[in-house]
Amino acid sequence: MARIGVFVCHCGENIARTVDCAGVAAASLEMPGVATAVDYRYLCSDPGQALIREAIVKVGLAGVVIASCSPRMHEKTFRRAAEAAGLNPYLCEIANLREQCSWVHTDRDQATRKAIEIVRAHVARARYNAPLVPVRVPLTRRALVVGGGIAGIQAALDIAEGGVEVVLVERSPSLGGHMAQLSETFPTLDCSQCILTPRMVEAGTHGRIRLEAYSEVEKVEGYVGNFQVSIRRKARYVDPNRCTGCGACWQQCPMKKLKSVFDEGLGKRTAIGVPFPQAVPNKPVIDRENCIQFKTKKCGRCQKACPVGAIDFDQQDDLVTEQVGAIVAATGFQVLGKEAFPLYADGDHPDVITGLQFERLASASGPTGGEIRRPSDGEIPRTVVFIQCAGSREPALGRGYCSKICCMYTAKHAMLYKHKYHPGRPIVLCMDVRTGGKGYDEFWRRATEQDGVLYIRSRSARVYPSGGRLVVQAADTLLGGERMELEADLVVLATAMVPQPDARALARKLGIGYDSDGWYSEVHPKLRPVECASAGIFLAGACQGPKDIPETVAQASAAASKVLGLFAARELLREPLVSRVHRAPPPVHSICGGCFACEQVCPYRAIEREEIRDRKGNLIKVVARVNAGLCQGCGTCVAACRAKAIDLEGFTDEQIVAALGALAESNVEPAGAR
Amino acid sequence: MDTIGYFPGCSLQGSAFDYDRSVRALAQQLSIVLREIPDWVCCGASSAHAVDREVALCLAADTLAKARRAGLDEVLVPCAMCFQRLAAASQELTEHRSLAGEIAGALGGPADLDLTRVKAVNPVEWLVRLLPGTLGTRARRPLTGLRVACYYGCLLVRPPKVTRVEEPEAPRQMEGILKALGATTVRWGRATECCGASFSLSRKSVVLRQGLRIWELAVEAGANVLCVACPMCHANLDMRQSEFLSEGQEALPVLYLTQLAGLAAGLGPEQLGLGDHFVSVDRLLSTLGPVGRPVTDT
Ligand SMILES: Cc1cc2nc3c(=O)[nH]c(=O)nc-3n(C[C@H](O)[C@H](O)[C@H](O)COP(=O)(O)OP(=O)(O)OC[C@H]3O[C@@H](n4cnc5c(N)ncnc54)[C@H](O)[C@@H]3O)c2cc1C
Repeated sequence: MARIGVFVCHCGENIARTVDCAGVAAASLEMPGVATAVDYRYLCSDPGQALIREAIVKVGLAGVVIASCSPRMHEKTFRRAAEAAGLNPYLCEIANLREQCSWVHTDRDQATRKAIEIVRAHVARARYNAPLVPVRVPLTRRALVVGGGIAGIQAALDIAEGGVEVVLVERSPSLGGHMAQLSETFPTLDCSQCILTPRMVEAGTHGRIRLEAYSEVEKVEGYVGNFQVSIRRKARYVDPNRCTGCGACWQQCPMKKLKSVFDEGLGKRTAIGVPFPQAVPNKPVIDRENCIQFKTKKCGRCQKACPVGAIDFDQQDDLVTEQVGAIVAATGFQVLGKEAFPLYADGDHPDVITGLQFERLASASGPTGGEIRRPSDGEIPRTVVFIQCAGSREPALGRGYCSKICCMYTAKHAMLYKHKYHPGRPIVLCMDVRTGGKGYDEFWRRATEQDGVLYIRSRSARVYPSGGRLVVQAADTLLGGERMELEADLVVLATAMVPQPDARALARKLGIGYDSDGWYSEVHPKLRPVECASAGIFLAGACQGPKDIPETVAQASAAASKVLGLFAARELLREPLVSRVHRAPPPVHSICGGCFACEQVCPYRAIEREEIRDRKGNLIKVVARVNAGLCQGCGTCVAACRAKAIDLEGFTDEQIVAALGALAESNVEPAGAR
Repeated sequence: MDTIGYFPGCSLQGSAFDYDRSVRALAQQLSIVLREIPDWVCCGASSAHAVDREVALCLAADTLAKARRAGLDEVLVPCAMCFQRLAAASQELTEHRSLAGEIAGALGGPADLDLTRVKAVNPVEWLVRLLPGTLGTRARRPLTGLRVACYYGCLLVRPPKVTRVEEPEAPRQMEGILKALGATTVRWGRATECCGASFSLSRKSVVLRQGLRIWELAVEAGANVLCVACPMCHANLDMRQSEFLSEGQEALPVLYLTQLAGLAAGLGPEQLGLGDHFVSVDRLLSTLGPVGRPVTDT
């Protein structure tokens, strides 16, 4: 018979107030297999743990049941204590008397009786506990970073500086993300490109960063420490090894009037080219949809112009596979386009623009060379109305969240406009102004006090063209909802930040979660803000929710340090509470019939097929095998197995039957009891 | 031949008889039978719903019950106020099915009378539906030359849970119909502005101010005709135009959607009641071409 010790914790008053702890200990002594039972005020304290350790040694315990708080709280603490006394930590069992008993009951007698039942069930289980050893998983010390905005760049550089090789995958032809499009950045008004492009170049040339630009993650397999990632390198139709980035090709391209994506449709581009002059890598891409050669086979001017013969119209997509141990998702965001706002001049008036379009107007490298000119006729607007919260904080439109950055960038826009055109009249229509952040409120004050930006607390209803200008209709919410009509030459909408359109698809590939809006989910919003619930995957930047650059960079560095921390270990240790398929010596081999129902239900793709062969190599049968690195111990396969060939370590059938039996106070003794 | 119930309401028997005439003529032209609900009663608009919710519900339900007894599933309701009342009642009865049963009983049954089976339809919805087949193929006179400002007002589009309109603040249904019939539609900012109807008698100044605002922007947007689908809007914009316009401001004809669709379907001005407007439509009509080939083939 097993020698089990029961330790009942008072948890100060938390348990003792409603449960008679001494009574529970006394009742435990009567349970089969219990060799000792004591109660104590705080078992998690040092003297409490010492008590457990001493009992294990002195009484020679073969297992312990700690009747205390939730195992989520202190299972690790007590298992460590047991281990210190020479007991296998998995022979230590937690009975939850706090969350599941004392906290939810008031009647002391009934609670005490329930506590005894809980302990009884755990004692019964504990008799079938087996010593387990953590699963050791080898570790590939390379990281994948998905997304090459400022988040991805920062994370990749930090990881690489930590001595680890990084594969950086960027979907578009160049690194940079949204930050490359910005003019000047709040709260310091430093030029965005000037601070970004050196970082882009560093990431593009770092010895330990392998940049896969114009590429996408196709498939992710494996688990923490051992991911296999297939990456699709999209055909550029330009051989990057030959191309020198000289620009002869795009100068010759006859398609000169295409709308520039980088300039948010306000500037022009050619069908071959780099998105912007500082692009990294500085190698052009052919836009197949708009290329005459692809459409009619009657052009090829870029090919003739290229001095190094780098243009290759027959290039195909290319799939490569990379082994990595950790992944950082840094895929950023999108902003809503103005077409989402039919009330604002039908969503297609040239002089109603988004904040991101305003950035391009204000940018020295933008389509107007940094002058604020309205798109319809190139005039300098005398009055600009900025409408904040366009699409944000609108539960009626299905978006309840605040996009967080718009109050600040709108103040910036109003200031930039005023700095560039002194007589201009910037008016901001806002629900309120949110300026949490270092130096942020000071920045906003500068806009209102020094630059004379007019802020009106209001809700904007409608924008319509009138007399060559635009009229903005709004309700003044400060002065009792009075109706206002403001004339403007340019209207700028601070449109909501939204997740990337394919964010959910990528999340499914990576096996990570997202919230109802589509932002990626962290494990804990406060205490584990950069880790995903799937081990080995981390988050950086605006893919997790609206963020400005300082926050994005901070999170990216945090994600990098998490990756480096993970890689600091020699190998990974994982909880041994995993499924196991029955195996036996020949001629039985295994009672697994090879139906692979388990494979169908396993959410973690942890079921493998194992061929059993005789000495001569003839196939005897194919059975299931659990990959302990992938298995998360959910037990779904156990339930699905018709032959009862799978069991879950730590939660074996016999343990569960024993616990149920004890609860039913019957004396069911499963076969094979020790 | 297709049949649909018809609820003219009081306006269409009085001030808006031209609206009534155009709906009937258009239906006939499109070979659709309008079955007037036998012995229909007042929809309860303007006062009942503000005074007594139950009376308001019962008035509308009575008409729905009569439609149902006549075996009808749908009732065409040209007046936007009547439409609003009937649609609101069906919505409420559908939400509270037991109430529907009770009211059906109180209105004299029969026992299996299901009030939630009758739906009120306004002319905009009706024509959107008819456009692909019936209306589109029978239109013989393209509305080329007409630059229409579509004016929805309030009750046709709001509240969306009653009116079933997707973008209640920026509706485009009338534009869709008229464009398909060959007209140009203008973009303007007052399509869902209030015409001031509730103040029609009590504070005329409000109505005149609203009317002017609507006229101004429609003209500025380049419209030569205003399209409405509500007798109140029509009265305030057509009848009062001479009051709110000053000297030198040119009057803008105000036509019902069904009148414009009727013209496209080849009907003459008389058949559509166009001779009885306060703002003359003669100039406008002179811009229209002859009845000819089907519009949608061009
Ligand atoms: C109008 C405007 C003005 C702003 N002004 C300021 C300011 O003044 N100061 C400030 O601090 N912040 C400002 N911001 C915020 C700033 O832009 C963001 O904080 C920052 O860009 C977030 O960086 P990110 O890397 O997380 O995302 P992004 O910049 O969006 O970068 C994401 C990158 O990932 C790539 N990607 C996406 N999906 C995939 C995929 N599936 N596979 C591979 N690659 C992928 C994208 O192509 C992109 O390059 C402004 C934002 C806007 C919209």
